Amino acid sequence: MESSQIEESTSLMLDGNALAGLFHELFDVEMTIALLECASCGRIGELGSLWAFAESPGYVLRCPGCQNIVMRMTVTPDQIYLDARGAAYLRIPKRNLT
Amino acid sequence: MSSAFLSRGFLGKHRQDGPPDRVPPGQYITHDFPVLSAGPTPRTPLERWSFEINGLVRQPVRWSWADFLRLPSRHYTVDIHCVTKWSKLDTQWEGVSVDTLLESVEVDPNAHFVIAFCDGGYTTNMPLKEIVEGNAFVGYQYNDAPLAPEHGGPARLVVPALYFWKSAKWVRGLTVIEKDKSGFWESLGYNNHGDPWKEERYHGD
Amino acid sequence: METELIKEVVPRILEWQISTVVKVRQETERVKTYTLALPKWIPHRAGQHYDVRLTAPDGYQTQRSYSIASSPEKKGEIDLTVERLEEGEVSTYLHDVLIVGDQVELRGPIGGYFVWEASMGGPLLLVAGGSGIVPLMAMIRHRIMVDSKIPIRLLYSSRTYEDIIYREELEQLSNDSSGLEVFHTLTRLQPQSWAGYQRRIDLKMLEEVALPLGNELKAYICGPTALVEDVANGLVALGIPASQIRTERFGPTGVP
Repeated sequence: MESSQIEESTSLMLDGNALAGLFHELFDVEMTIALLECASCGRIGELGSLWAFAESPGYVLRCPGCQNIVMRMTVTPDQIYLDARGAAYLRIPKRNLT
Repeated sequence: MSSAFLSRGFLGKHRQDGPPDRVPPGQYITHDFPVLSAGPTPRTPLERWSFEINGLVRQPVRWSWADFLRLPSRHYTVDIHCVTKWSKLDTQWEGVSVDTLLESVEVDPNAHFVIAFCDGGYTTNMPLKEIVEGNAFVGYQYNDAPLAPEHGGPARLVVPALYFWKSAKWVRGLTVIEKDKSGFWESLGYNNHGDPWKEERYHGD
Repeated sequence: METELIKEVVPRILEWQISTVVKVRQETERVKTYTLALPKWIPHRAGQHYDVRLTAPDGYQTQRSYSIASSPEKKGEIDLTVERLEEGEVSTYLHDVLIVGDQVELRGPIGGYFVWEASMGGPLLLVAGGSGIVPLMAMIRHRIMVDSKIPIRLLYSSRTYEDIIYREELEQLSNDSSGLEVFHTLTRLQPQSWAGYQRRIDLKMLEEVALPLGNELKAYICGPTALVEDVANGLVALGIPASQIRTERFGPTGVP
């Protein structure tokens, strides 16, 4: 895709960092370093590296490899909804808490 | 979500309250046209574009872009209301009434719902009766110019009586179904119906 | 100087706190840095951000994320550098209304993906577009504070000479043969005797700046989405593995 076309198509696009605060609210730990495998194409990458679309009724995270949706999230007045079917798994390292 | 702390001197962007008979509860008027998206802007070339009605119809029908432009169209002036609280009054469109499109199919009498499907994978659902009798159209011009891609061009569904997430951008067709089935946002906490006058924003409203 | 860095997987409730503005500094015509004293300050990692939330008397709220400009070695306070955007609801408030002594509600530090600390090693290639320099500046300042010798090359794209944020500090830091080299490119207007680059970042420029660091480099790219895409793709084309490239996109207008 031409550079200017990419600019138009994805200019509203951010990355997983933009949702870091929201994910932290949900999980109480830093989630942008969580590794996810895309259920569509198998790409493995950190949540922070996903394409994020945050200007909509909800949030959508897409795989930079295949553009398919990895996760969706919405925030209503009293609930947070998370659909992670686009992720084959989510993995985060265990650390010694002592 | 509200806190006791107030930011000194902060009033928020100018949110104009509108006349209550035009602006539903909880909405404010905007004079720009915010762009909200769940993905990269699709770019289907017109020679590959089509609009289809399928599902519970005797025979599915499909129009190419050239066919679509030959259908009787008309000018619409409608108010639109986004669930993210902005409303825009007197927006100007050119489009084809959904009634016109449905004339080309025979809908199964047991089918009462539709799902709109779009480039990029977006879907939204509504009762069939909400998009007939002049209540909805497929719009391809906005303010006398071709509908811009970031606003849903080449064509989008416009259902002014419901929150604007139901006015599916980059629409490619309608699937007629017997039982209601939640679309993209309806399945993730947003209201299945979405009547702005009853503030049906979220599930359970 | 001992600094205990928070391990990112230890559960930590992210709480809002009220900070106080202790200093405001004009960096460029449209950019200011706010020094905020935090009652519940904890050390951050360079590259992280804070969320700032504003509340109007009628209850209306809005929030934005701002990258931390200061190093984690500066205790009790953080610096947030903010560009004033004409259409920006929060940035116009911060620039036009906020003064020393005012309070700002915020929470953080947030982020684990786009962070760098000296223990992660290098060499580092930092690429910034406009206000994308902010989190990278925290990395540069951190490196100085811990006396690290890890080589850093910064490629910084600005519109004009007057738009370069932290210009004097960068000049000073790169003159001290501390292992930091700064390459500027001015895309819109250049002063008379300008010796730096004068075009948008392209493959040739990346080749000249990045390749001398070798293939083991770690790249951090921050700025408008279009610049970030171009630079990331460019580095991959030059043979840098994608796993060594981290990005933070600020969206079209330069604010995440």
